[in-house]
Amino acid sequence: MPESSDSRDRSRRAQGGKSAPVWKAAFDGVERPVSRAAQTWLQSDTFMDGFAITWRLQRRLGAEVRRGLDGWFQAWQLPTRTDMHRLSNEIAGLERQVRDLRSELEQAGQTRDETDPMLPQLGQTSRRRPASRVRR
Amino acid sequence: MSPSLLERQLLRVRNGLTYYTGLSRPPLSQTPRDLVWRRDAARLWRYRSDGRRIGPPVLIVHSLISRSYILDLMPDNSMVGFLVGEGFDVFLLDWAPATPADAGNTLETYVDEYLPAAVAAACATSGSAELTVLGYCFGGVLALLFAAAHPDEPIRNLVTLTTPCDFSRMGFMSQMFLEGRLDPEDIIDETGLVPAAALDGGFQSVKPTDAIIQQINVWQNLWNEAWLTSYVAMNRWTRDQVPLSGAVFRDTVQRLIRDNALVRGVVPFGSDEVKLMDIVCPYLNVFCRRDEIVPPAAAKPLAGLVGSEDVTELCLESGHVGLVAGRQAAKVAQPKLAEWIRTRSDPAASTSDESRDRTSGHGPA
Repeated sequence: MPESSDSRDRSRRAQGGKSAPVWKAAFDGVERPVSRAAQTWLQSDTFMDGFAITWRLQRRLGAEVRRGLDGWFQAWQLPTRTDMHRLSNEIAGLERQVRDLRSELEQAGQTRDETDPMLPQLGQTSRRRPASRVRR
Repeated sequence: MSPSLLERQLLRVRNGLTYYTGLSRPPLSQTPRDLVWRRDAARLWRYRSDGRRIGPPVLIVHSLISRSYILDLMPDNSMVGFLVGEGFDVFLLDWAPATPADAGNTLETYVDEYLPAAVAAACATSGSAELTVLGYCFGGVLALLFAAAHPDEPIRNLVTLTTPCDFSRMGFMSQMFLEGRLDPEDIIDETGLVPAAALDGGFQSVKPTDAIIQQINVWQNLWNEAWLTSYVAMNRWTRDQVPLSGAVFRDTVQRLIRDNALVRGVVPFGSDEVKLMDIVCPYLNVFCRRDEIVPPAAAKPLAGLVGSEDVTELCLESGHVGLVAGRQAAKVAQPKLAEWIRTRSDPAASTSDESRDRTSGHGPA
């Protein structure tokens, strides 16, 4: 995240409130209009359109390069990046199933507690959802 | 007394060596705390205190797109430390960096599942029936949606810090999606997450000359060790982004950016919708005049959208980060924040920690 306005303040205070040295004053004199112009340019339709096209092109080229590399790796029977992602996503899917099961267990525990207050508490802070709304 | 010119040059050499070799690494997030609840990536921390004098506890909800140590940056520069020192019982709900298992988490997952459970855990741990909920940045969006979607939850007060509402005023990053130049799928990677590098690039693009300005400021103040330590800590945080769940990103783009639902006051949610007018507890909206991430125009409308009778708006003269860390934060923002919460809280029977044997946490999360 940019922090220049905050860091500029800190910088000024660090100088003990003294005026900035000549080189810094000269830099500030140039920087402020340049920054303003850069920000205006960044917000322009021309820049944003160009940025979006470049971004998409870069993604597509990256995908093509990866596809080529995958083919080469496969030829040598080595695991590819795509294989690693597939594996990672499968593990993530398993983790999600474990989470859902745990959540169901906690809800079952809570229901049991409500029906039988003598039973030990399980899932004291289990997932609650407003009765009026259902997940999409 | 300020050092002489020669002394400054010597200090520049010494500090420059530690800075440019990367040896200057100030310890971060030093306020003692205990992990009191955890589910998946959600973590609830309670800060230790020897004198909790004000109730109900304050639950800080952190953003999904940054690390929470900004709220407790360094011992003399810590929002959490300030609130603890003022006598508040402080809880922090933050999020471990999202993994592919979190890729499917939607806004509903956070608002309907993690937040209610964390609130229940905070109430159970503190023994309090209510909480003051404070959301920072995107954490404020979660806090608002939570308060609106769960009117039965025990929220005494609600505070949002630099929380975006009118996403059409958010500048470059939202403009890229608003008009369909980019789609979420252009950013989300093969694991279903928005990579941290993409978020970092997005933030850097808000002020493209920032990297140069910072280096110039470093050179100017290199002799000043205190300044350099603070800068290194802050700079580490600003570049320390975390991946974001792809599903939350899709929700954000569609509902919050393209539909601009928050500023309309009605957000499609689950199979229904939530209305900000349903928030009736005392509400404080804090935003900053020089914020380049969440410009004041993007945050200001919130005060007029909630249904509370007790609404306060506070516009401060700082940037996005300067609100929670730095001298301006310690001198102005934090005292005003603490005062607002204090006047809407009760004196609590003074309590201190009895749970020192719990899992303790130090260091950046």
